[in-house]
Formats: sequence, structure tokens, C-alpha cells
Amino acid sequence: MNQVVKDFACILIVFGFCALFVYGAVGGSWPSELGVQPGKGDQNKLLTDTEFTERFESWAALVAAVSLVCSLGWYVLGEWGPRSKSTGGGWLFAWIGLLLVVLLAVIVAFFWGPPASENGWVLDGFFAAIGLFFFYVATALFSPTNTKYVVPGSTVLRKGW
Amino acid sequence: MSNFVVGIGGSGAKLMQALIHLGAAGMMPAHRTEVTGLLVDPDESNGNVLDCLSLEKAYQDCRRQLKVGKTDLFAADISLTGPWTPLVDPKVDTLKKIFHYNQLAATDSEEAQLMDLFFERQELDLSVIKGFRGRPAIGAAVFANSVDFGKPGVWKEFRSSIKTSSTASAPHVLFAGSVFGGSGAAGLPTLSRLLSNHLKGDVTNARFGLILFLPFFQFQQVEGEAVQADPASFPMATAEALKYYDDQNFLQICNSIYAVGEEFPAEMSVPAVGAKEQRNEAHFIELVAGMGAIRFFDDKLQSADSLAVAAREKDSTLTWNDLPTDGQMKKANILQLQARLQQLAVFAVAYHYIFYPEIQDALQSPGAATKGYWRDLIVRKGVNPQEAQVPLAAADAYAVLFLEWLLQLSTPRRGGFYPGLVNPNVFAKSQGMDWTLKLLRDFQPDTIKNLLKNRPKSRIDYRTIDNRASRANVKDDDAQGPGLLVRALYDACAVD
Repeated sequence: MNQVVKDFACILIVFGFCALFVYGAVGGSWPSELGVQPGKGDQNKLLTDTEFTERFESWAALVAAVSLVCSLGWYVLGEWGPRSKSTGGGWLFAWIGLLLVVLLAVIVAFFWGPPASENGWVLDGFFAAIGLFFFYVATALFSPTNTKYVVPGSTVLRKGW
Repeated sequence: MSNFVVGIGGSGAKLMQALIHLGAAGMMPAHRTEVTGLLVDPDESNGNVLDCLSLEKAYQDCRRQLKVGKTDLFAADISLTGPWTPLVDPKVDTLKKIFHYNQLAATDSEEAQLMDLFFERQELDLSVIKGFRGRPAIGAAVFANSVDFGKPGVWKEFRSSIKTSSTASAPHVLFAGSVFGGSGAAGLPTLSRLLSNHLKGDVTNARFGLILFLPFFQFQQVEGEAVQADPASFPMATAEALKYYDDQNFLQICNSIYAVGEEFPAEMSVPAVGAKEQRNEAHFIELVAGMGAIRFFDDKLQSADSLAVAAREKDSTLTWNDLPTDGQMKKANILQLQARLQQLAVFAVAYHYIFYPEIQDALQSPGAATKGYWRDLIVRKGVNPQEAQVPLAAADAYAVLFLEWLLQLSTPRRGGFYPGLVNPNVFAKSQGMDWTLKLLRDFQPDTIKNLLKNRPKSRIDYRTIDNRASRANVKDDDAQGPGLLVRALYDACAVD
């Protein structure tokens, strides 16, 4: 099978796990289990559990989508963009740029996402995991050949492909 | 199983260069990849000979330092000795001195009278230290006087090698040189006859071949030289020489004779009578002759009493399909043979202009290097980057020599010729008829897709080569160390 098709499939599988993670968090009410209490909503009204969960799901999906788009964008850029030079310095900046986009989505989710009255940092952790962790895993393990060792740590993580 | 080549004079040395490149491309017959070469030239410092020796050294450096495994790259086992010169003492450099003319003349001997009969006074006093200046009669006398197969030295060793190899299989002994100049015209018939006669007794299975270079270049007259080869006399000298080969029944001595020439001679950029100044550019005729040598070496392609004629389709160019091959070869095999040279051409360009600069960057900052081939084949394999430096530089040194050769083949100094094998603009630039390799900063990697011309299949591009290199997975235990990297990069340049 063509390497590009394989890599795309692997990236989609990574984000399949991301979706499962979001689904598990929403379905299993993991934030509540970890002590997150809904905060006050738009009209200074305390959110119900259902409203809180819906908001959490939407923002988690948004962060995951940004992470997926950035991961695919990184792949497209690496595969069809300019060829990397021996030290790949420019490419590292490009990757950090995309990482910052994902981070921005996570920060936006912190401030605009579901309000929590207690243990809000747990939600922050969820968004960071959904955005940054899956972006890192997808790009470190399944970057195109041209940029496969640009992502920090990929030289350790990638072996044999 | 050995092949033997005696390259006589400048043209013989240039054929040897072509054979080294064809050997580097893996074009020697699979079962006969060993070539033992001997250069013969009275002018030891002849530029063509020196170039040939430099090339052989660069080739040997690659073979010795790079374990590339079982592949076409650097496949031929080529060794070269010489140049052997018939002049024992550089001070004894004229016919008069070599044959002790003055002593002979003092006694009014027949030998002195014969010398007066056959040679002009000017020729008797001519120093042959820079070659025979287009006077084969002088050279023939000098060669015949100095070759001694019984005396320890080059010829005895060469003869012994032929004899030793004859026990395993038939040795193929090829003589190459020009028929219109001095050294080749004198040495070809003399040395081939001497050696074949000498081997007759104890090597019965040897096959002899000749490559006769007919005129394919010309040059301006060299100022201040009273005796020198005259290009205007080349056609006449050639006609006489061919008549001589026929009269002397060389087809009885030799199993194959390849005569190659060019109707539109190329102008050599620097005319010189000899020494290091005589550094004639490579010409595609030498590649054509090299294809003849490959045919001669291949004992599966031998057919008795046959005449093969090869010519190119258009005068104005030379394409891959114009490279002559044996009529018995199947189309697929011919394409495979062409593909080997094409792959070496792509590799040389990619290695010199793309990979090697990246390798140098990686050597300077090993921790920051991110190219897949470097991390996977050097860092991950535990190869010490500093130890890899010299072998990887050797591959680059060879690549440059190959590119210069390829450039000269593609741009003969004559009007109305356009390159049909490769596009020289990819890796070289011109100023009028003078071409030079591009500097690294002038090279555009994306143009590599335009390198190979007149090929039946799809083009190979930079992206494909770079991706293949970074995905390299060489399954060959014999490819090791920096050789594994060079092998992977070579494999990445495979043409369809």
C-alpha cells in the first residue's frame, strides 16, 4: 500500500482513539468523577449536569478537530511542500507553529469552554490531552518521510518505519 | 574470470576511463566483472593517462572504503597498472639513441642504412618522450625493441596474469588505441601481435580483440613544434592503417575487431603534442567503444565470423537507443543495460548536488541532523560519523569525475550537436562551447527530473528520490557502514 495512504490511515486511527477518549469522558462523566463541579453559565445561572456535559463535548470536539486538521496539515506540508534540509530547522519552526495553533485552541477552550466551580484544572487537562497529546502522537509517529525526524522525540519513538 | 585491456596512447587511456565508468555502473557481464588494465604510453605524463590513473584511484577508493553489498554500483573489479613506457632511460629518447645509430653508421652497417631508408633525418632526431607525434613507424620500431615478456616487469606480470586466469576460463584480451595517431597506431598492431604470438604456446583459449579508434577529433596545430600529428592527414593515415590490418590478417589473430569513428570530428579545446597538457575531452565515441568492449568480454555473446554494424539514428545527437548492443540481446536486457548507466547518472547528480551537501551538514552538527537516511543508516546503525566522513567523500569525488565525463560526452565541441543521453543544463553551465559543472548554489534540485533524455518511461524526480532515500530499507548484509548509506542513496536513484 502507498505510504501516504498508510500514514493517513494511521493518523485517522490516532484521532479515532481521541474520539473514543472524548466519548468515554462524556459518556462516563469522567470530569464529574474527578471532582469537577459545573459553574455558572451565561446568565449567571448554575449549569445543569446535562448542559455542562454538552458544552464539554462540543469544546472537546472542537479542540480535537483543530488538532486533527493541524496534524493533517503538517503531513500535507511535509509530503507535498518543500523538501527538508539536513538539519530541518525551518521545519521545526513550522511544527512549533502548528503546535501553537493547537495550544491556542486549548487556551480558547479553557476560557470559553464549560465553566467549572471546582477543580477546573481537570477540564484544562482534558483539553490539553485531547489537543496537544494527540497532535504530538500523530506527528511524532506518522510524519511524512521528508520530515519524519523533525518532531522532537521522533528519533526515539519511530523505529522501523 | 578475467578480462584484460591494454590501452595504448591517449585514446587507449580514454577507453579505459569509459570502462571504469561502465564498470561503476555495473555494466560488465555479470559473470565476468574482473578487468585487468595496462596503460601503454611513451609519454608517462600524458594528461589523458594521468586522468585515467586519477579516475582509477578514485574508483578504488570507493570500492575499498564503501561496502555497498551486492549491487551494480562499483561492481566491476578493475585494476590498472602503468603507464608502461618503451623508453627505459628518459635520456635515450630518439631513434638514433635507442638503436645506437651513430655507432652503426660509423661501421656503415646495414641497420643504419635501413634506418636512413625508412626514416627522415628529422624523425631520427625526434624526442619521443612526448609520444610519437603521429609517426607510427617510429613507435612500431621502439615498441618492438622494448617489449620483453621474459624480463621481470610489467609485461611479464601481465602475461602471467593472463596465463593464470586461463586455467579458470578463457581470458579475453582487448587492445585499444587510435589508428590515426602515434602511440596507438604504432602499439596496437605491434603489441597485439607480440602478445598473441607469445601466448600461443601455453594459453590456447585466449580471445583477442581490438578496438580501433578511427578519427573522431581534431585540433589546431601546436605552435613551435616542428614535428606533430596533423589532423588533415588522419583520414589518409586511417585508410592506410585499416589496409595494413587487412593485409596482415588481423582477423586471423583477433576474435573481434571494433572500429569506431565519427564523421564530424570534435575540436579539442587545448591542442598539445603530449605531456600533461594533452588532456583531450571525453567523447561519446569512447562510450560506444566501451559498449563494444562489454560485448567482447561477454562470452555468451560470441558468434563466429559475423559482421556487426552500428550507427546512430541521427548525426546531430546520440540517444540511449544508439548505444550499440549485440544483436542477440533481448530488448528487455538492452533496456536493463541502459538503465544501469542512467541510474549512475541520476545517482551522481543527486549525490553530488543534494545528498553530499546534506551529509556534510549532518557531519558538522550530528545532533541536529533530521534527514531520514542519515538517522536510520548512520546514527541508528551506530556508525561513527567521523569515520564515515572519508568514505562518503570518496563517493563524492568519484561522482564528480563521472559527471565531468558525462558532461564531455554530452557536449562534444562541434557544431550542430544536441545532447540525447542527458540534459547537461541540469548539472552544468556553458560559455560558448565550454561547459563546466555547476556550483552547488546554482543547482536546482527540481530540475533533476529533466536529467535523462529520450527514455521510454516516466521521469524520475527529486521528490521520489528524496522519499526513497529516507524510506531506505536495504536488505543486504554485505552493505555496511557508510557503504550502506551510499547503497541506499544509489537504490533511491533507480530508474523505472
